[in-house]
Amino acid sequence: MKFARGKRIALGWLALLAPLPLPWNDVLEWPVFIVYSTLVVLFLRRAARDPERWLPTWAMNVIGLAYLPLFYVDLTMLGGGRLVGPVLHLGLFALVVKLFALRKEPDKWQAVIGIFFLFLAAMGTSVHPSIVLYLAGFVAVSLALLARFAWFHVLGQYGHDETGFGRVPLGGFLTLATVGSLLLAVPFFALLPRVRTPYIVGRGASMGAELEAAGFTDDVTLDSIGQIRNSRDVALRLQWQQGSAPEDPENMRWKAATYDLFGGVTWRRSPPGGSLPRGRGLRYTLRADPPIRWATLWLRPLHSTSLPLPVETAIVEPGVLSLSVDQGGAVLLPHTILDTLQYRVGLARQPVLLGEPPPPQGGPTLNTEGVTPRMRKLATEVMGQGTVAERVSRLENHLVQKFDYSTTLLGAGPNGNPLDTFLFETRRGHCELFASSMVLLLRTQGIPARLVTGFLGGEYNPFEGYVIVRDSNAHAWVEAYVGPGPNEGWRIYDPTPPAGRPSTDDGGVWRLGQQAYDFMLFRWDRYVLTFGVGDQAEILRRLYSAWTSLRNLFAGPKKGDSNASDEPVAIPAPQQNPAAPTTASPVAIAGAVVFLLATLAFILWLVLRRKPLTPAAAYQRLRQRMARGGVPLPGSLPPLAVRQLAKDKYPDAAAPAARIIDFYVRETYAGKPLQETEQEDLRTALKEAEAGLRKAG
Amino acid sequence: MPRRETPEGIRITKVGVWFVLFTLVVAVAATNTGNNALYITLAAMFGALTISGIASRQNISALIVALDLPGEVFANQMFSAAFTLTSRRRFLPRWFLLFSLDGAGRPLLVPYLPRRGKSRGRIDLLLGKRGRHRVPDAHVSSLFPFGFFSKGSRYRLDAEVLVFPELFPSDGIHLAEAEPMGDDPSRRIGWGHDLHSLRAFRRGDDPRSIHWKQTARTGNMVYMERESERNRRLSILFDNGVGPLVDPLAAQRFERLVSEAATAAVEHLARGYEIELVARDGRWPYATGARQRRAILEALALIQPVAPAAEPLLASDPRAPFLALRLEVERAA
Repeated sequence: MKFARGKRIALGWLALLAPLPLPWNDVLEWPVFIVYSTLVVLFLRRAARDPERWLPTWAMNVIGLAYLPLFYVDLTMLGGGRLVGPVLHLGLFALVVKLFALRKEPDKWQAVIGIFFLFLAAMGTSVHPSIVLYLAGFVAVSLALLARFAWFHVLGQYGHDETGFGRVPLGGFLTLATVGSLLLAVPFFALLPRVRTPYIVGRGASMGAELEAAGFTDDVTLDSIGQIRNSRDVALRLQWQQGSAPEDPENMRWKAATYDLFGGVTWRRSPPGGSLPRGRGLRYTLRADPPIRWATLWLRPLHSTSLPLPVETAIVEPGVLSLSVDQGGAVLLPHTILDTLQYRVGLARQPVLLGEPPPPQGGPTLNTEGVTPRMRKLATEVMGQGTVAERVSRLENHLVQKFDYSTTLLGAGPNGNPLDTFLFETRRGHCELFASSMVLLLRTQGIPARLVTGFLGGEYNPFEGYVIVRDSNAHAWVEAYVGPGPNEGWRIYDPTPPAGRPSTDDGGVWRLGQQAYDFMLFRWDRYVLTFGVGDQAEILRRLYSAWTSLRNLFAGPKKGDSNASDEPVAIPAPQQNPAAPTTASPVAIAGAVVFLLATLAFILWLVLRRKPLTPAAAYQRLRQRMARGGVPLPGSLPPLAVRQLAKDKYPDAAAPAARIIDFYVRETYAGKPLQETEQEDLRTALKEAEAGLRKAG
Repeated sequence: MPRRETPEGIRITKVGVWFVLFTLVVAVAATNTGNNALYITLAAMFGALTISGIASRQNISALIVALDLPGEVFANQMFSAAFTLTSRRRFLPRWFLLFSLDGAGRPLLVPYLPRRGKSRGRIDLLLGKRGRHRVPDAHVSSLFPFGFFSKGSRYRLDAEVLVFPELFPSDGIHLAEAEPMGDDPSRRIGWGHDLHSLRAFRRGDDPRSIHWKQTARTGNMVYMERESERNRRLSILFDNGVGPLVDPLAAQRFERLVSEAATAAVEHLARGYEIELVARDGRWPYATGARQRRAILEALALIQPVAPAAEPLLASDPRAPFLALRLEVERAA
């Protein structure tokens, strides 16, 4: 196999691999990717045949110019004002054309640069753990290409143009090198200095595409929860802290938002009721009673300010500077989160997040907009007489028993009222229809009520030791005010039939697999995508702690410490573990800039410094120049013979050539290196010899 | 015998510079965006660089280098030295090794050396000066694995070779000067190659020595008597009493005379002469054969100018021809 063929094939494989994640990341369109891949495969087939003719440079330039109008159209019309797509298209186009025009050695390195930037784009837009596989593949092919190029380079110096590569067994080493590079990347990744908060594209749950989590924003439609119920993505995780009693996760209810204003199709919430008082250590207390158990939660971005909390939450420590509550007692963050939020909660025995009693006139919780006469009549018939709590329970039971659950949205019907259609025509629907109907029916009877969205239940993941709450656990229910008495107030009712309530399906091995996958995603998100300065500080702290323990182990007890074990030791309270906001300090940024500039300067110095001319280098250049003149110069020709040859064939260059060869012989054979004072003499001799050789043609 | 190696420095290649520049670009991008996917890329690139550094060092270390120099080495005459590279590594082979010696021109390529394996080869050397020549080190370098860096290791050899003086072509004009010098009364009949005389064939003579041409011409059997080679002697009178040679030109001429003496000795020994070498600081009596050849070459390889002396150098056999070699040095009054 000739060198050029081998190099083209290696470059083709790398070019095929480089943009692979881009279409999965929604950064590149699939048709564009398929066209590109087809062209690269065609190139590979052509390279395997190793024809003589390849695209000349002028043709490459003409094709490049022809693409300019397309690029303009792509930029202004197709790209929708975004730069990334058109630039990627341009890069792919340029790379394909370059592949078909690989004629000289620099062309191949230019193609390598193009491939590298495609790889960088692919990595930079990826969030899924599968990019580790992509990275491993790319590293393996790149290292093979580099090793092959190095081997060709060595062989080329010895006048070979056939590879013989297959006879040098490198496969085992390359496998080892790939694995070694990836393993070494782990500590490098952990210790590379970070100066900015980690940035992630999308939620990290899928291949970078953003998933909107409807149902927890300021206004929701009647199918908002139904939309996200189809997703298996993890919304939040809970881990019980040491000493806390485990909870049955199936019955946990997570309150995210409450809605009291119904507009016929859409629910809206009243403006927030106010800020929560902040205590020491960014702690917010919702009820003064001490909590009976503690838990840590990890919340994935929901694209809303809602902070889902167990309804029993009495204390919350979210690590943010302010929290507010809406009119129904749901807690709101000051801003939407972009990556996983970690916070701690203390739970009471009874539900806490129920808000204040309604105003005397009921306020928005008695608003009956959207109520039809037959809905009012139905409420009166079903609820009958009795205490408020009994009447509300009757209505709840009626809806649970007489209606069916369906995930299909059946529309608003001919009268344009979806709740009326649900109650009297279709008699089936999803949880929001059940909850919304119950709220309006209660309001017709003068009972304040509101819609609540959040999550119901969760599953215990044995791989993580966490309770996992998925998007499919999203649910809507009702809070009704049953009276001002000591055991009354706002109570939770759930009119959705059991079939419609989120539950953990017993999927056996499939479920276990899913839990393992969730575990991997969570760890990936937590320890890779959102890894930051705080984590690095924690690693260093643990390393220091381990070092101290080790030192103490060998040092033995110190004098005067003998009674230390008799002293009572205070058990520290559970550590607060907020998601520490990691912003760059000016000193860190300045340090990083100085470091990068110094590295750049060092590399430039390495590249640009004037290397001293050695006699060996001068002799090699002299030989090359003479060989260009058509004189055969076999490698075995000794220097004295070269000197004689120069004398015979190039009289003008004979004297300086003899000087160079004398220097060379003296250094190489007699072991006397060139003195600094002779450096200039050698340069002059080389210059004169080259001039003489040029003169001789 | 295992030898310890000494690292010989590191040279970054163009590919290495590009890789470092790419790494820098990724570092800037990762620092600027805080994107951990780019940090993963950067970490993998650092990993590859580290692997490259470790593998290239491993590739050229833990070798056993053995060198076998030939018995006769002449100045300015290419010769081959046999070498053996043995890998001491149990697990990893070696790739793309370039082997060179001080005094060798181009390094020799050893494409692949299996683990615990040996590679034998010959490397051409050319030494410019006579005398003792040390080959202190062997150099092993490599671009392996990825061509980012060229690394080298020096292996201590401590080999020494005695370089004999340069030999001139056999038709050198100076050899002719030996013939007319002195008479040749000691020529005797023997079994050499050269003709001594012709006479009539006698019973018992070796029929292989009948001179058939003369026999045909005269009609009588003519017998060819050959000269005894032992009787051919040459004394080389090399006057090295020339004092210290400061002038490089004079030193160069002195070296040339040494080479002429060596050439004369080698040529005449090859023709069966008994050769004697007489110098100011030594005398190597008449002898012939390989042992004498080596003795004279060794003497000439090491001969140095000594203090001048007035008395002339004399051959042991006053009747034998001699070759007198003396450098005329102009000395300041």
